[in-house]
Amino acid sequence: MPEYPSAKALIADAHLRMELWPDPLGVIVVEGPDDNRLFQRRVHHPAQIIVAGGRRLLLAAFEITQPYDRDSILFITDCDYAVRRGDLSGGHGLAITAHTNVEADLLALGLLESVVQEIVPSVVGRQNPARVSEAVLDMARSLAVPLGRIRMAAEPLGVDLGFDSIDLSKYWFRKERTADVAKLKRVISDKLNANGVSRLDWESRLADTPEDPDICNGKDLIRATRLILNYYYGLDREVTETILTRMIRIAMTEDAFSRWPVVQRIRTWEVRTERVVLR
Amino acid sequence: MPYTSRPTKTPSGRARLGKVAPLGKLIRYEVVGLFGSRNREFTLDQDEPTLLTGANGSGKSTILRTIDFISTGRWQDLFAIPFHSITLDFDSGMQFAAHRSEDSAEIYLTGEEPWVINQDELWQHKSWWNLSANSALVNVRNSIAHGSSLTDELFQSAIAERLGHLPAAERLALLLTTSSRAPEWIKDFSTRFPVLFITDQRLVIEPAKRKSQQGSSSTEAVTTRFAAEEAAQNIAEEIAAAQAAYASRSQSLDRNFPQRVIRAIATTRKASENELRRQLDTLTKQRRLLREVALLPQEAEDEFDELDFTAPHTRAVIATYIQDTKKKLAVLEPLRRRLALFSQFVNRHFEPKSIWFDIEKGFTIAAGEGNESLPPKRLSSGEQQLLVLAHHVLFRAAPGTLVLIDEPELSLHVVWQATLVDDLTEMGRERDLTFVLATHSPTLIAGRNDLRRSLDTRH
Repeated sequence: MPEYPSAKALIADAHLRMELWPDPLGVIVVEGPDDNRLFQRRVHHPAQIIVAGGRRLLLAAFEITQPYDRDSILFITDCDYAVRRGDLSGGHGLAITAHTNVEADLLALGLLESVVQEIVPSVVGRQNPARVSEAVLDMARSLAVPLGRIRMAAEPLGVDLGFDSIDLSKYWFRKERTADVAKLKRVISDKLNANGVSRLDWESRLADTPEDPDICNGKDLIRATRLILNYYYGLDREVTETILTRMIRIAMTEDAFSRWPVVQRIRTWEVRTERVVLR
Repeated sequence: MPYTSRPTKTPSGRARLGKVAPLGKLIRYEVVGLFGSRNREFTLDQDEPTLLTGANGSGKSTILRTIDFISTGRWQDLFAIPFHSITLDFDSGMQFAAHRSEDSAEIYLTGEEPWVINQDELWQHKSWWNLSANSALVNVRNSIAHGSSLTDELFQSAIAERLGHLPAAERLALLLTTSSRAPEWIKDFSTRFPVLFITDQRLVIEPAKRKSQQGSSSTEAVTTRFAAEEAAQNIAEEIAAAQAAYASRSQSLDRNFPQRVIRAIATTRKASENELRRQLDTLTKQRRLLREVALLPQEAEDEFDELDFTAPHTRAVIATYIQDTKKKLAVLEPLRRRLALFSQFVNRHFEPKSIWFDIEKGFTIAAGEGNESLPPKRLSSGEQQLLVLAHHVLFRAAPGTLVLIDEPELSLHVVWQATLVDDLTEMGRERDLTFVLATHSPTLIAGRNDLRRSLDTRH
């Protein structure tokens, strides 16, 4: 929930912050406090990060910035599905994630590997952690890709399908180690149909949605990862989705941080504007 | 949590002597019927500040005041606020509740005898007749002619009639004034539930009025006391008290130093030279840190370089000296940590100004190229706000205190607001404090919806 009463208030906040600093320091605007934590120890001053408190307000603030603002304020947001639909593109003053969101980017950086060493040490003692993590992600993707496609196809319909509370275990054949995609599609189709969306329309929308692995939403991927780790690698049930997400964020090393496409976009912006954000 | 030595009861109601059961941390607050109709409830975060938000008039400051009144036992002030009930839940499992109606006030604590104050109390004793502190009481007394010669029945009916004309808050205040039956636990309550309320009027301490020496008796001069100056004075007192404790510990240890040295010489096992030199290095570093915050005078270090550590008796003497010095310096360490946190915090924000501790003045602020000393009251209002907040948190709040801050963002630049939650969390950790902040600042909230508790019913 955005705390700023308006996008203008957020921009005013950025201007006020910069008036206190010497010229080269710039400001980055991120969506939420979790993103803030990722950057907090890597900027020159913690107040260089503004938390918008939501994607909508962040994008609204970006929309109203003047060209000169974009030389000192950099907005960082999730790619979501807006980029694939052509509704959003990165540009000067706006850095977007390489995958659907920050979590998907972090998994793509290979951060799960160090996390599995912490949460399932007995398994990793017998097997190569990189292989374990890749095998887990392969299985997780087989569930997260169809979910991601459904998210993307359903988004324009404006129907709340409660994706974050779907019980993924209902759509996973434990013995066969495969996703029950047919059931997932059926359940969603029923929900949409109950909300006035015809099955034919839905089928057509879904068929037009890409099937590549990058369609995964990072949150789905983490939830599916947790399910797989729990089913086949003995992950303690107390390691919740929230804990696992935090661990993946904490696992960000300096090397991974520098490889993160968002950071590379920040660096490019720094060079172009002669502003400094990251240490 | 401070303890008292009064007899009390356990949560199960059994009386016992010794420590009063601590209430622990406040974890939940609920008020029903605030201003007649508002119900508000929130949980408190135990690791980071809880952020109360809501429109003006939503009850943020009032809620902070009710917690403060409860902690400090200001029951008249509490019951002057219109509400039906207030409930506080503590992590010990204890629950406090206050109920208020037109004619009665009731206060409960798990396992303790309730304190019920109602009109019947007045009939029990006429001693209130002679009390004059409460204006409402005086009005009632004056309005009943020849009260002392009335029969009990007429007396009761006369008071009941007069009381009926009073507003509910005044009536309850009167009942609280005359009630003589507060249970023992009520008197201990503030020590069991320590709260520090930092109001929005925190820069100036209430003016002390004094008669002008030259003018007529009706002319009064008002001395304004600045909280920043009082903070400096308080720190000077803290340093003086710590040094007195250090001197006392030193004298106590020095008295039997010879005996302990002799015993150490007689002991067969002696520390190695390397070990002793390592410990001496540690002491040197510790002393340097203590000097930085004016807890030790700027004097020369003890010299050990020329001593021959190979001799066992020398090592025994040095070992005893090291043990004693550790014990002496340990007295200063808790205050040193707080002073260091205070200076780190102030220096980080005030740059290029810097703070220096001083045994006489507490601290001075150095400003400008010549490092000229700037009196605390000459700091900007934002700087004073920050300094006073840090002083309250580090030096006024006892360990385990719940710190309530009304509008912490006052006068603060957004850069300072943006880091305030983290700053308070870091300073509060030293004293195991919890915080509730009533704020309007999105910059301070910084998207921390996990800490935010909205009093706006739309949320």
